[in-house]
Amino acid sequence: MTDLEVHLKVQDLHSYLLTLPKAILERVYTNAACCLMVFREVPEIGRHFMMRMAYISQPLPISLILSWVKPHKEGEANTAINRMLNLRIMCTVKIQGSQEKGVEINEQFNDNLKLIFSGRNLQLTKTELLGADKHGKGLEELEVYADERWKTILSFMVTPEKMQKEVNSDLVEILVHSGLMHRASESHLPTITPGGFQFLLMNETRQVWFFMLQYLRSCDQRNMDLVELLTFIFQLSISTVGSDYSTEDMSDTQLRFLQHLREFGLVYQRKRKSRRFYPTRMAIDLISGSKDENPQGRNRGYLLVETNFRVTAYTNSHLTTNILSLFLQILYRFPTMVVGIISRQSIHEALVNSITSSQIISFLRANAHPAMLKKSPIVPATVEHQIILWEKERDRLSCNEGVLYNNFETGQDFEILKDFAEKNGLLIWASSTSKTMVVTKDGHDEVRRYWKRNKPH
Amino acid sequence: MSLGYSSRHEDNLEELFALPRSATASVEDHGFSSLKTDEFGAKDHSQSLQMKDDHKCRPLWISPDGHIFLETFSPVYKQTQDFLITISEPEGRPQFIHEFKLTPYSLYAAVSVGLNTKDIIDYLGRLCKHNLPTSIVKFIEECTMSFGKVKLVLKHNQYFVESEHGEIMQKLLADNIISGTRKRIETEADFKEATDRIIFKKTARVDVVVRAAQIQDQTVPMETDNTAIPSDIKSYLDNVDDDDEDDDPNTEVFSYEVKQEHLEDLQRRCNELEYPLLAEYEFRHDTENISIPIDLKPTTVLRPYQEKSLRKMFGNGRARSGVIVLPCGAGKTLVGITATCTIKKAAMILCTSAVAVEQWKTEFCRWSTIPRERIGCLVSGQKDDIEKAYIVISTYSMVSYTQQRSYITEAAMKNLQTREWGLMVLDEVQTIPADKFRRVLSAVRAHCKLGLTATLVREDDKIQDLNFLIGPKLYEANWMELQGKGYIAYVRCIEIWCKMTAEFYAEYLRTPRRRRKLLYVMNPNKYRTCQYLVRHHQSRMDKIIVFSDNLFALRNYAITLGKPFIDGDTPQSERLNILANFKRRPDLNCIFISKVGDNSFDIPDANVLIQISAHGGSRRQEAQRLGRILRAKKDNVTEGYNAYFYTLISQDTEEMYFSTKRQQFLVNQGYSFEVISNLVLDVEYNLNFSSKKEQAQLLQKVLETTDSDHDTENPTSHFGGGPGHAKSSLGRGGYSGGRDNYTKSSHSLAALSGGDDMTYLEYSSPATHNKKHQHPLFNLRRK
Repeated sequence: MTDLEVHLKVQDLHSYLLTLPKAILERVYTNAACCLMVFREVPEIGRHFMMRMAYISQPLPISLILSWVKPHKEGEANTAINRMLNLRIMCTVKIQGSQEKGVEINEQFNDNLKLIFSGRNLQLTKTELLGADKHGKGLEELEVYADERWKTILSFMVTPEKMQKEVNSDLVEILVHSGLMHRASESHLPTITPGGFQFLLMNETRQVWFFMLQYLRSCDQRNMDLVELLTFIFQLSISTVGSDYSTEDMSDTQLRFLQHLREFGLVYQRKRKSRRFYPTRMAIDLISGSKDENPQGRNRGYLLVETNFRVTAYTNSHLTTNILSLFLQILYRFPTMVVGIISRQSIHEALVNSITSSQIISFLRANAHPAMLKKSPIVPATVEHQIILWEKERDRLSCNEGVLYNNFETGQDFEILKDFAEKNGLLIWASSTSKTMVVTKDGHDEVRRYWKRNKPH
Repeated sequence: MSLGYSSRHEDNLEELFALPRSATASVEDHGFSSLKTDEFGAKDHSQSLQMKDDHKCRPLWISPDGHIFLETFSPVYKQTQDFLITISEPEGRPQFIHEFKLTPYSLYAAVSVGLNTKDIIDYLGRLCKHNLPTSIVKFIEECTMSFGKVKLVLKHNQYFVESEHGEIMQKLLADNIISGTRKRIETEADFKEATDRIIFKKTARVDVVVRAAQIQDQTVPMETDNTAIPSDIKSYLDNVDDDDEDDDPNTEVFSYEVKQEHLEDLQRRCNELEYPLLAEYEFRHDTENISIPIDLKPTTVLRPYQEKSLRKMFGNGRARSGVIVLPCGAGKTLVGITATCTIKKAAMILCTSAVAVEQWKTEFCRWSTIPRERIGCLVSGQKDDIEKAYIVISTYSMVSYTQQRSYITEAAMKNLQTREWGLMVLDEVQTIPADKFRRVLSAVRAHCKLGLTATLVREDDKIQDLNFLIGPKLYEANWMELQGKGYIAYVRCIEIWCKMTAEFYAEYLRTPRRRRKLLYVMNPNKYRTCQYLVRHHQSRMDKIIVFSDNLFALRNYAITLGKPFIDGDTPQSERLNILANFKRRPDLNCIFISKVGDNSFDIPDANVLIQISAHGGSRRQEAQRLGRILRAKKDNVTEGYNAYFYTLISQDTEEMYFSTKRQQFLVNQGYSFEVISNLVLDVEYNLNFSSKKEQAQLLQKVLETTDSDHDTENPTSHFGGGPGHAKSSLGRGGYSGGRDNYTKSSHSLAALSGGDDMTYLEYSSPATHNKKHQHPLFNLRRK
């Protein structure tokens, strides 16, 4: 099914919601937590509008809304309104006694907004009834747990044969499904795809978000209700790390979903049947991964990129080394450090795996060592520039479709036709010595007609 | 390694200067050739090494194959770097992680400046983040065991073999040949004892020059975060700075006197036994050679790194032979002069060209108190009174020249050979081929040899031989550090890609390889870029040098742009004249120079360098050329830079490949080359060769050239100051063939009056055309 292009595109939350059918959106908006998350992602100016309109129970003409802002901001305001209309947070209605159309906030959404503004607790059910947890996990332990789970998935992508036993079949399905891995046949282990390589170079929050999008897209095949999943994701993202929540009120679908999230490391649950679970930071950061920015990730940067194209990475993880080796020629490995070099060849190999230069550069930037962050630019300009130049080397040729004319009988014939084509801007290439010319595809008919008319004999 | 000159050894120079076997060893030979690489093709030490608990505070990783990685942000960086420079070769010194490599030569150097095996291993072990690999320990032990244990000292004009290690002394004396060289005192009663046991007090350390010592090394005392440094490193730091002097004054030293006449045998035998003799010169006690009245002028001030390098040379009150590596423009000349002033004996200075000879003389007068008439210059056409001179300055080609000389030169050379020199300074030591060098060594007898260079690299890897011919590398400065402190200019390196025009490229593809060069050098886009840059920098009142290896291009560029040029044919007086005008006249701010200007042309004011054609992938040339503009600039700081180094590259030609290779040395020193791939040259700039017609004419001109125009300059004319009548054998006829294209516009009066190569025109042209049909003997002769 995958519509994954060679270059991975990651949608943000809104553009994902835009792909959903109207009915589903309407159902999503029945949950206050969902509304809060969607509301948060609306541009600031749009949020102001909504806050003004929430307690006005009648539609307002767009011109009136626009009059709230200074003229030079009108464009921005328009975009925000359009966005909200598309997302069906707002809808257009006819205003009685006026030519102009008016807008109002979606009724469901509006009710939930009022709840949010009034400070209603939207969190998942807490576990007060169960009492304190004997096996409770601290923040740090959760962090380690999440990290380890996620790394397992990445490691499986890189070295499936080694990690085979660590991951379950559902997860493998999602990876194959999302086009990050490819399976030659049912019996084979899947192998990583170009998309998978690009996936590895993303920062972690973005990886999780992308992965979750793919999961949601394929939920029909697992007979899961999309709205329930979305609701649960939104609820998770407003929960608190280190608190435990009860599984009490959850539906069957959500319970199944919980088991998957456990596998990815988004939640911690001691046993399958435990009645409580802990969300990890990855779950809370999930939505923020939808934005294309490079936050100072929670991983301390570990890469030193030098002007002589040397790269030193403070890492002892096999996975990281593997990821680095996508675009780096690794020279030395020490217990806490890896030395490699960016060479023309190593970059070419990366490009062949359809990793782009900008992905490599943003990876270098995102993982830069604190010592590098003091510099501006973070990655030496020459290195960045050279990587881009190496990429450009690969597309020096441009293709033009055309029609070849050759075997002219006399040089004169050739000249006549060449002049005509040149005059009309149809000529792509011509050589007098070999009496050969190429004209554009569109111009072919015209040139042929001219030739028939003017044939000397 | 001071050598008595003896004619019977001239035939087997090779043998005389044989290198010890372990000099060619490497860590890989020590059981690690079988080291397996992992799935990434990397050398995997992640399992074999154990990290120390406090590894975060320690600055080094050491790979079992001898590569060392140093964190520059470590609190003990500065001291560690000093230590590593002493014991290893710097491979790459960019911003964050420096890479060094242990080699037999570097360890040899370490030993010769007074470190011993135990100290090296001990310090390395402390600085290392993990346990020291066993192969490294073994390697260091093996290399240092044989090096530096035995010294050859010249005291009271007698040669002594000295060693602190009795067992080695005994081992040596057990050898028949060596014991034969020993001078025995007949009356000596205690005949059985193999060595004379002398307990002698070491002379106190000599201050290089008293004044220099006042300028304290600007080492900032350790920052307050001392707590972060493991205590064992701290304790070592306290005494690493003076590891030169930490010899116990009461060390037992075994020594015996050598029969002068058997000196060569002794040296050869010691090399064979892998105990190369370390040459030291106790100049304070040398009464045979008269001291000369020379001192630094009171106004002369040494920079900290110059002083540091000299301290390595005069570590324990004696002078060691060795090589000091400083970037161009960082004041190598002054180091040489200070060394002369410290030793205060007759000195011989050798450099690469006649222009450099002149510059050395000027510098000597500028910094030291030596009377001008006591400096003798020995170059073709200028023979000062050598006999009376305290300091003689000459060129390598002059001294190593083997064929018939003129009468005066012959007499001067005789004089040189009979004298005993206190110091021999070898400028730009990297340029001389080993065999020529051996000839120089055999001709001139000096107690101490000091090599000076900026770039200890050669494409043929012969550089390591020099270490054993002159002595170990004593000091190597960090370019970036000097740049940061303002001792050398901040250079912005820019590589500009010039597209080949379609016509030139078509021609390029169909031309045989050896004629291609001219096409990409004369590429109109390159020309126009050059013209644009010259114009741009002229408007900023910059001083511009344009370098071209290719002479046809050099002359064409220079003439069409109306600028003066210097090449191998330019007579000495005219060269000096052009350089002087370039220095002084504000309206002359751009000159064109061929390969002759690569080394030791001191052009202090130049701050822009444009390179339009170069010698293949030579890293040394690139660095040397950069050196022309490295001398610190006083003003003109824009965007943090005060000098510009442009390389113009024709896109899609072999130049692209070469340029990457050439830059390697500088890139490893921490320089970065910016690439401009699409410089747009507007029609408005009104540049030459903008129209298709002009370009076609240029192409025609290029195609009409003879083969000789494609050659670069004959490498021998590099040493332009060679003996006068040797010139005809330098193959000048080689490029006279293409002369007819431009003699009319040439500014050389000699050429206009027919005094130059004009008369040979008829004869030499066909000769060059028919090169391949010549008998191979003639080709040999031409070289």
